[in-house]
Amino acid sequence: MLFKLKSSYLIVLLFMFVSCIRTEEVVAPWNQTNVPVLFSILTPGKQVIAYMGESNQAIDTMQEISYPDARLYIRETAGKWFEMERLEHTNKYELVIDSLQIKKGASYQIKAELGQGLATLLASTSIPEENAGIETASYYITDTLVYHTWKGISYRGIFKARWKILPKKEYGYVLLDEDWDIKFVRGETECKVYENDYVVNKDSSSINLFLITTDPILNTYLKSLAISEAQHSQSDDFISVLLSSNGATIPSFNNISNGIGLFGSYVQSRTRVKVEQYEK
Amino acid sequence: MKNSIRFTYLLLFLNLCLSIHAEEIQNRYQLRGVLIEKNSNRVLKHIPINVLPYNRDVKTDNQGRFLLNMPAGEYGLVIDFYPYEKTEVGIHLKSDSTLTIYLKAPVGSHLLEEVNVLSVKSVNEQNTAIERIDKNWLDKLPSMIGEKDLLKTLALSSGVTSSSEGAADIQVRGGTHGQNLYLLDGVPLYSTSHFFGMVSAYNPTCIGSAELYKAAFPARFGGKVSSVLDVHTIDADLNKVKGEAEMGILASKASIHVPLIKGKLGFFSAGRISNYSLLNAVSLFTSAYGYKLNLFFRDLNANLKWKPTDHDELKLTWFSNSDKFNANQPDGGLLIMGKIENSQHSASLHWKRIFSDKLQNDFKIYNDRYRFEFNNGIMDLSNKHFSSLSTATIITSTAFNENIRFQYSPACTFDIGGNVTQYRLTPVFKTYTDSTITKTLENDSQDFSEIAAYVENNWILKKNNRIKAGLRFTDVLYNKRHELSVEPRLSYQVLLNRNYSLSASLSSMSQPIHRVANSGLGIPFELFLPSLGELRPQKAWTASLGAGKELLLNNAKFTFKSDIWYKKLQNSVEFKDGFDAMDILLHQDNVTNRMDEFVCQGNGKAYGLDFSGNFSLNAVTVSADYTWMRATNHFNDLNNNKPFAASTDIRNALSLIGCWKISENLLVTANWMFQSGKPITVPTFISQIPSFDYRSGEMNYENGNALIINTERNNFRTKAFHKLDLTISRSLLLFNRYQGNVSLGVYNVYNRANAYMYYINTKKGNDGKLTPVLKAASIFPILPSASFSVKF
Repeated sequence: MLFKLKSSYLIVLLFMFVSCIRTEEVVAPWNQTNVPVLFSILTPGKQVIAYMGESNQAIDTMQEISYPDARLYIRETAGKWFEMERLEHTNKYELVIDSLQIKKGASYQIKAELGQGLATLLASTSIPEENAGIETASYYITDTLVYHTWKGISYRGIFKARWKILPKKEYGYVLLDEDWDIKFVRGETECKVYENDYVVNKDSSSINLFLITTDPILNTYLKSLAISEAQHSQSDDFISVLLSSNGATIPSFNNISNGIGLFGSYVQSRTRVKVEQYEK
Repeated sequence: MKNSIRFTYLLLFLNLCLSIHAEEIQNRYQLRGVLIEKNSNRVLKHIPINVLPYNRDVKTDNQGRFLLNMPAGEYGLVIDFYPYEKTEVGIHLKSDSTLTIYLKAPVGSHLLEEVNVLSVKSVNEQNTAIERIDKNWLDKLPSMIGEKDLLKTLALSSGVTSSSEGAADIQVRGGTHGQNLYLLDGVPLYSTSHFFGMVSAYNPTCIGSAELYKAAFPARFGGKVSSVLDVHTIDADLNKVKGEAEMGILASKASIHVPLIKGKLGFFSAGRISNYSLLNAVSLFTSAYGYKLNLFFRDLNANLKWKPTDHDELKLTWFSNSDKFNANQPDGGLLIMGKIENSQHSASLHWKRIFSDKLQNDFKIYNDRYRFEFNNGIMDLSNKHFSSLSTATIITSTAFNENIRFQYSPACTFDIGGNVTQYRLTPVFKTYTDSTITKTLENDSQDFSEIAAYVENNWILKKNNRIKAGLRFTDVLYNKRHELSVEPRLSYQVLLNRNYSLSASLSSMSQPIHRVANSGLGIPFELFLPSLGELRPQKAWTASLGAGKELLLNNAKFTFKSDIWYKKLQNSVEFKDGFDAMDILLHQDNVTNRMDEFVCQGNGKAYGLDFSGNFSLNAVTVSADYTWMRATNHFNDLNNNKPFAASTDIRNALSLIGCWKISENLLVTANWMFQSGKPITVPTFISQIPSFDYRSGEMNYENGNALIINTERNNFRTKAFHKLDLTISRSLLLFNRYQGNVSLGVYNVYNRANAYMYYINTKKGNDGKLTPVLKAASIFPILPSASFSVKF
C-alpha cells in the first residue's frame, strides 16, 4: 500500500518536474555586423604568428579567406615595421625573418592593412618584464590502485605547488602540465595549488610543469574564455547547465582598434616534479 | 535681511507652540477600549477601527486595546473587517470612558482562529510607502506547488519585483535583494530562501505580522539601504492548546501552542520540512544522467512567552533553517561527491516592560549564525577512504537592542534607543578533510562592531497632520577605524478631508555588510563581504511623495494610492567583470585583504511611479498594482565608466488579483502578474579564433576557441514575464469540531514558458555548420497544486 502510494506520488511529481523544463531559442544580439578579427600572442623565443579573419559565429569557418588583400606588419614600438607572410590559402601569418627579437619588457605593435578601402587595424602589447617561477612543487601517490583516465592507466595522488606573485598585480598566471591546465588559488602574495585528486600516468616518474605569466590583456582573455566555456552548454541537460554555469560577466578584453580580437603576450618557465609515494 | 529671517523663524516657532498649546487646552477625554471576539473571548490584535466623523482609522494593539483622545462630543466607531460582521458603536463622549466591543464571525470561516494581523487596504491609515501583508491576504492568494509565500505575495505589490520566476526574493524600488533588511522577530536573516530560492525562509504558518517599508523608514531600523521587511511570528497562546497542520506537495508544516502556566507561560513552535517523496523524484529524474541528487530543506520557529506580571513580558525565540543539496556521482571505483548547504540559526530574548501608560521599555539580545558551504570530495568505494575540500561563508553576530518609548502626550511619542552588534564575518573558510585529518587551509575571519543610536518623535499635529522625525547615528568600528553615518528620517502624512491623504518621506540609510550576487548568466550565487579596507558602507537617500483616496459608492468601496519616488545609492557593490561568487570561494585566497580586486563600488539611482487600486463589493475584491520605474548604475570600473541599466531595472510591473467569496466556505482567487524584461549581459560578438598552445607557442586551426566579446553591461533584455494563477479554497468543519481547509490551485494556467535563466548553446544549421545560439530555459509550466490544512 505504501509502495503504491509512493509510486503514484512519484508519477505525479515526475510529470511536474521532468516534463516542465523547456528550452527555446531567442534572438541573440551578437554579430549584427561582421567585423575584422585579428589574433596574435607573442612570447620570447617563439615565432611570431597571427590570425586575420572576419567575425563569423559559425564554427569551422576559420580557414575561409576573409580578407585576401590583407597585409600584416609588426614592430617593436617606434622601430621598423616588418611585414608578416601569409601562409598559402590560410588566414595565418608568420614573421619569417628573425630580425625582430621578442624580448621581456619590450613593447610591440601590430597592424593589419585590409585593403579595399577598409580601415587599418592596430594594437600593441608589452611583454611581461619577468616570469614567475615555481618555488615549491611536489606530487605524492596516495594509493596503489590504478584508474583509467585521459592519461591512460594512472595513479591518483596529492599535488602541491606554490609560486610568488609578481609586483604588477594585473599579470595573470596559468599552470599547465603536459595535458591540462591546473586550477590554483590566488592570494595576495602567492598562488598555490592543492589538488587531492591529481592523476599521473602509471609509468611517469615526473611531471613537466609550465608556468605562464601573461600580460593583463591576455589574462583578461583567458578569464573570459574560461567563463564563456562554462556558460556555453553543449547539451540541453538543464541540470548540467545549472551546475556548470559561471555567474560572472564576461570581461571585455578587445584591444584591436577598428576590429575585434587580441594582441597579447606571455613569458614561460618550466619545472619538473618528481612522482613520489606518499608517506604519512 | 538677516533680521527678517530671524523674525520669520520666530513667528514659525511661536505658531508651532501656540498650535500645540491650543490643542491641549480644549476639553479632551480619553476613550479606552478593547476588541474581543465573541465566540472565543480572544482579544483581536491590529484591527482597524474607523472613527467618525473624522473617518480616521486607529488600530488595536497587541493586547486588542485602543486609546482615543478626543474633544467631548458625538462619535461613531465602525469596524468592518472580513470575516467579522460589520459593527457600529455610537458614543457620547463627555468624560474619560472605557468600552468593550465584541465582534462576531460567521461559523465555519477558515479565518476564525488565526486572524491576527488583518487586511487593511485603507490608504489613509499610514504612509503610502508602507505595505502591510496579513495572514488573511496571504491565505487567499494562489501558491506555487502548494506553498504560500510571504515574499512572493509581497512581489505582487507596487514598487516590488522579484529577480526571476519562482524566486522567493524581492527587489524594492530599484534596490537589489541584498539591499533589503529581512527581519524575523527583530533578527536579520541572511539566508532568506529554501530550495534554490524558490521558497522563502518565512514559514507562513507562523507569520503574525509583516510590514514592508519601501520608504519612510523608522529610525529603529538600519543596516540595509533599500527596504525593511519587519516580520513577527505568532506569540504563544497562554490560555489554550491549539495547533495547525498542513500538507502540500513540496512541504509539510505544523504548529502548536501549549500553555504551560495558564495566563503566564506558554510555548509555540512551528516547523516545516520538505517532503521526502519529492527528493526521491528528483533523484529518479537525474539518475538518467548518471547523477544522484538529494534536496532537503527544513525550518523551525519556536518561542516561549512568559508574562510574570501585567507589566512584563519575556519572549525567548528560536529560529533555525537549513537547506542541503547533495550530488553524488559514481566514477569507476570512486564516488565523486558535491554538496551545497545553507543554514541560519538564531536565538533571541525579548523583554518588554510597561512602566506606565506613558513609558515602555523593550530590550532584546540575540545571537545568530549563518553558514553557506560548498563541499566537493572523493571516496574510494573499495576501502571507504575519502577526502574533501570545503569552502564556507560564515557570519556570526551578537546584538543588544534597547528601545524606550515615552508618550509625552497622546499626540506626541518619543522612541529613544540604540543597538550594539558584534560581527564575525568569514567570507571564505576552507578546510581539507580526509579519512584521518581535518586541516584548516584558510580562515579569513574579520571582527567588527556596529553601534547605533537613534531618537524618533511621532507627533500628531492638529487637523490630521502626522509627522515622524528621527535621527540615527551608526558607527562601524573595525581595527580602530570608524565609519560614521548620520541618517535623518522624516515622514509626514496629512488627511486632507474625509477621504484624501497625502504623505511624504525622506530617509537616509547605510549598509555595512554587502551581499554581492553574480552578475552573469546562471545561478545567482552570492557572497557576503564586510565594509573593511577599501570597501566602504553603502548609503542611500530615499524620497517618496504619495497620495491616497478612499471612495464609498453604495456598498462598493474603492481605494487608490499612488507614490512617486526617487532613490540615490552610493557605494553599491558589484562583482568586477570576470569574477563571480564561486570563483572567489574556490580560487581566491586572503579575500578580505583583496576585495578591491574582485568587487567594485559605484553609484546608482532609481525613480518611478507606483499605483495601487482596490475595489470591493460584497463578496468580490479586486486589486491592481502597477509600477513604472527606471534604475541605472554608474561604476568607474564597469562598462567603461559609462552608466548602465541596473539588473533591477524592470520597467513595467503589473499585478491583478481577484477574490470571489462564492459562499461562506468557498473562495476563488486569481492573480495575473506581468513584469517587463530585465537587463542581462549577452555578448555582442561571438566568433572563432584558433586555439593557442602556450607550451609550444603555436596556433591550432583544427581546435578553435570562441572569441566572445561584451561591449556593454546589461545590454540585453530578457523576454517579458507573465502568468495567471488560480486557487479554489474550501473551508470545512471536521468531526464537527476542527477547522479544515482544502486548497486546489493551478500555477501558470496558460502554460507560459517564462525564462528562468539564459545560456549559450550550439545549433547545427542547414549548411551543416555549428553556430552558437542563445537559449532560455523555463522550469515552471502549468503546475497543479493541492494542500490540506487542519486547525485544532
